[in-house]
Amino acid sequence: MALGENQPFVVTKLDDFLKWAQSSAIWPMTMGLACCAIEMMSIVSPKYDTARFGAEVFRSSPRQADLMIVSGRVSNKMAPVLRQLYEQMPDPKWVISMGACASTGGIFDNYAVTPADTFLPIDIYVPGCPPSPDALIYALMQLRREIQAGSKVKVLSANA
Amino acid sequence: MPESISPHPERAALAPLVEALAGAAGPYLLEVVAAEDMDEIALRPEGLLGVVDLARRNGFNLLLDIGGTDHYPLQPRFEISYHLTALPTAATASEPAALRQPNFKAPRLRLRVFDDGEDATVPTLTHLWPSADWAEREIFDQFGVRFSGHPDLRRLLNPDDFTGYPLRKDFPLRGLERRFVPGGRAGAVPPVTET
Repeated sequence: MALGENQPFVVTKLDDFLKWAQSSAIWPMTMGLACCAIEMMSIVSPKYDTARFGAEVFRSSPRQADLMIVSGRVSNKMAPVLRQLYEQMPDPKWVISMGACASTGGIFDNYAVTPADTFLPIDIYVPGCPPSPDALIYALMQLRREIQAGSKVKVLSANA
Repeated sequence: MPESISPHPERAALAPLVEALAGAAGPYLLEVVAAEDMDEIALRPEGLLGVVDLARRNGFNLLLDIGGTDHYPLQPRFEISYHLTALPTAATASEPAALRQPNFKAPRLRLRVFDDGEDATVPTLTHLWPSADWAEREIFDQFGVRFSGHPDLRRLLNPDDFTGYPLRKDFPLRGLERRFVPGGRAGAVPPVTET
């Protein structure tokens, strides 16, 4: 079908179009590990409303999600389960490590808990115990910038 | 040596039974104590089944919980504590006036079983109360105390291939092995097992 004279159209690069599409519709996975999950749940509430950024659809299957939010402490027994869920997610996929426990082990410096970055590639770390929903939304925004820039390095140098 | 302490005044009615239970422990009795909250009987594992059996036949029909304590470096090292209670049943509720009193509390009883060593073993109570199953598995998992006769004595909380018993006092807080190596993208990947 040929375009008529008055029909609008946009010229873009395919890469830019894909980045725009990926960053505008991030679908997180429904996965709560601990108390951080309570804060994570509230980001889809009317008060914080991540629907504004196209990230409100928490999918119950890893095969339909492209963002894993590690929301809480990960026990050694849970870590292989998380790794398996991560590998079930289709590419491209991203991981946010939410809170002190997921990022470093937090107060759990013991035999039972492992930081999430010992077995997953983390894109964004969110500090806090727990992080406020605003902090998680900021991480989401940072992830959007990372996706649009195509790499984490470009975002970091642009922010510096 | 068996040690007797005068019964708590509010629990005087229970005193003869406690005495009979202490007798059921025979030579394995350590001591009988009228603690502030309930009467307790300390004994060796060999006497446990006899005492529990008698307590069950005298109305202690519910096993509330089983706890574990490591008294290291004291001897004997491991204490397994059982809390029993006597809930009123259809048979007993009709007879004693005590059950109709407004402040009635179901009587409770604490059994403290002491054992020692790496191969500390206590007889299981799963054949009497199925609820003892997971409680005993958790104690085996965390303290390494074995329960003879348990139908399925596996770890409950820790991974199946875990090394050591983490709630023992001489267990290092950070564990005996590091399961995942720090390093993120370049770090070690845990095995993914298909089940």
